[in-house]
Amino acid sequence: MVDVTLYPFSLEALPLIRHRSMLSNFNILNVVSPKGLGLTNKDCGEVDLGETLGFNIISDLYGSLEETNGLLLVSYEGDEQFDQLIISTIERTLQLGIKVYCFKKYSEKQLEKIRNMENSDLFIYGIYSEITSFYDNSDYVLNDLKWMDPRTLNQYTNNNNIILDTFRNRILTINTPILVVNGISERCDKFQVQLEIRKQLKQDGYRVSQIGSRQDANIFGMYSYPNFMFDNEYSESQKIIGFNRMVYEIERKEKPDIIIIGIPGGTMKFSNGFTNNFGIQAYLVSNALLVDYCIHCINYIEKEVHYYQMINDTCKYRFGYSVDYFCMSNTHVNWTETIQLEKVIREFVDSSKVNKALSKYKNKIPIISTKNVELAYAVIENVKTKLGEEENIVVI
Amino acid sequence: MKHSNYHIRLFKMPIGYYCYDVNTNSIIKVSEKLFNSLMNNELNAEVKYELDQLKQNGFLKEKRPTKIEHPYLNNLKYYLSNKLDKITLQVTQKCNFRCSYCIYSESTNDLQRSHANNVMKLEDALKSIDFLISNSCDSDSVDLGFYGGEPLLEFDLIKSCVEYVKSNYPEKKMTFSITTNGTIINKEIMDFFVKYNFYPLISIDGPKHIHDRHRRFAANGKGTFPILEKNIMFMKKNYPDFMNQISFNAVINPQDDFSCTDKFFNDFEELKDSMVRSAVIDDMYSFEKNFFSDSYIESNNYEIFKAYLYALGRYERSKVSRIAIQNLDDIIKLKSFLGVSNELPESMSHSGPCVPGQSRLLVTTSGEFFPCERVSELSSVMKIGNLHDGFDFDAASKILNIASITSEECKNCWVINHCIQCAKHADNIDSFSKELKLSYCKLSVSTIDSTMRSYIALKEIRCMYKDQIGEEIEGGVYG
Repeated sequence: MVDVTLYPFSLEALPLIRHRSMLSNFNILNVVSPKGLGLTNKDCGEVDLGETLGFNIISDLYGSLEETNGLLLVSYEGDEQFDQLIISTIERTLQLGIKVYCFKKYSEKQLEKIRNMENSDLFIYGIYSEITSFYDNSDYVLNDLKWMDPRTLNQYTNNNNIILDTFRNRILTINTPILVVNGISERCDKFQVQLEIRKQLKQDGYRVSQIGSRQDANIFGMYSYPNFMFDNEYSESQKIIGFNRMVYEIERKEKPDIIIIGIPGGTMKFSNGFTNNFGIQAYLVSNALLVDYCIHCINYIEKEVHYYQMINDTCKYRFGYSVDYFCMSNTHVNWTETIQLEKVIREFVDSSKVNKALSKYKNKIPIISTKNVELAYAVIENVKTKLGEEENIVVI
Repeated sequence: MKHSNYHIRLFKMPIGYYCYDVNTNSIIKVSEKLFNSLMNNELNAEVKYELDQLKQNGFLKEKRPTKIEHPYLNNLKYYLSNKLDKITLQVTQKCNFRCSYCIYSESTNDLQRSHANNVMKLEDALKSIDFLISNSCDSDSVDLGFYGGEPLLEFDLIKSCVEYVKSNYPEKKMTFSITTNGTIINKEIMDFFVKYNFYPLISIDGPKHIHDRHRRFAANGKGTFPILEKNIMFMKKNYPDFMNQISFNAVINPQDDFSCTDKFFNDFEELKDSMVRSAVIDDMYSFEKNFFSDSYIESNNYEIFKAYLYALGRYERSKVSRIAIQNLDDIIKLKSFLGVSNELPESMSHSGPCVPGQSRLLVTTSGEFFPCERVSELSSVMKIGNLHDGFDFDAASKILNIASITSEECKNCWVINHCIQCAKHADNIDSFSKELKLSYCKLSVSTIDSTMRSYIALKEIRCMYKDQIGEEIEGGVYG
């Protein structure tokens, strides 16, 4: 385990601090943020109005690097100008002979620039570490089946060793229970919920295989959401079959008790003006896998029970599965500003507001705040109840 | 049955009969019979079917809010601690002008400060910038504005501020803006503006005889137009690409010849690529109130009429007054806020108030905080904190929730979704006054009434043309 300074801290990096005990390779000692982000001297937990975490955000990067053995460069939101500033920081850090563990996805052009820097051998592109790279390649979507275990493949070849056409476009059956975490949109604490569930299940002794909704999810020892799902080079059918193959292979190799899939993005458009990417990833995944349990994350909102019925129906008819548990985050969309500025404006509300909103639904719908420390326990009890009931049905 | 409880506003127009439904925030066309029935407060069998249809579709509700409270009130601390959009530094109270309508020029006025020699200290300016950064972590980008007096009298201070931002906060997306009378502008200043991508707003009131009537040098009382014109031509010649980043603002005196001012802005070649804005003299804190002459009203309305023709695609844009066309902005804004909602919430506030301090926090030379530069710096109720203590959240709450002082009136007011009032309209310097606020209601109602009528007219005339002439209206901005 390496002692590291995490940089540049922003909202994106918050799950790494909140769940730092789940990082098996890194021990975060310092958290640094560029001064311009306005986070300096705040506690990390305050960034999303959550509980304090005892980690003060500082601005002196090189001072804090002296206390650690590496720079943990994490995912952030920023434009090209911001990328340039961070890449300059990488350059200076490498010049100092300090390792950089990079979990931010950069373009080939940016990577080439980094590879030409002094001490570039100290730059470890963690986002493509072994755990991810094996699966994040195009073999699955190209359907040439090189990745497949020969013994399995044998079942689908004819006497002349030619792979049957019917197999190429076939969705393979996954026997392990599949739990998905999706959300009404981005920024509704989906990844946090995935981490909480993972942690609790592992503590309870279950073997968990997991694909996270972020492309740097592999930092937690799970698989990152694969790039090919966003690649325009492949058709939707190829992506669906590719994702199915990927999960099939994970099941075969790891033999888990449960597979958790985090789905990036949202599940539906907000309006004609704000399409939320139409919930495309959720749709693709729903065609690749048969889902056994769904946790749906939503933004803070005060609505009646029939609103949740509507969301449930949308999931059911669009994706083929119902919502089993809702998780409400403390972010909400400011629609007045969103319409005025023509971009989605999200804000945080105090958790007490979320709790007040949820109190209306007690015993009516299964819903919990994403900031509730009992979240994982409550949801997993529900998972066990549901999947346990299905176990009682034996089909011969 | 009486209709008096429906929360609606009726409009009789030359082209038809309309009802603004407050709960759904939408305008619906009604028959003449129903209109008369609603107006006279009588139900009869002839209109029952139409009435029932509207009710079945969610219109004509009687609901009013039960509580007047701004929905952002509970989250105010979050907004002011994390979502500041802009800070305006009053770098100086000194000015090289003495404009006749300037509120700071009234020496006997207890409603607003006077011109003075106060200048912001550099350390306070830099502290203000630090404050902006630490209170805007959830804002994608922010603006740093410079104001006065005449801010360019403290150009060195402005330079130091910008350089401080660039050295210390290169990661923050920040724009820079400045409001100036334009007479001190030179090459060094323009090079600086271009280098740091400033957005200047320069004041010019119209042709020489109008501009100089009001905008004079403090030192000798002479008109300022010749120097300003020379500087504008200098900017146009040497920085032509930057001209589209400069805005010009005209303060209109409604006793002046509007058509003269209007023609000036249409004909002045050097302003062609720049945005032109205008506003009538702000008399809120003045003892001398605006008087609208008949000739001003006539000329202004004629130009607005031509702007409407343009909106319908029946008149060339180039022939439309650059000042009058701003009226279309009000209609487009109204259109964007009309929408389908089911009903008014239980608790709400009238529209109008911004989140005080969030959108354009003013920091005075002495480090005091005000919601914007348009309020009185003598007002104890409009002060929302200072550099050393930070925000006074209680004071900011009272400003944000100003509608609560007229709650009973607001609950029943049809303009609640579109009101244009804010705390400034209730500012009695040492207290908020319900009576003062209510005195502005008539203006608010008549403004929204007029805008809605214009909206309806433009919408319906477009359809009329299509029906009568049988052709699509080409062009125009109004869909």
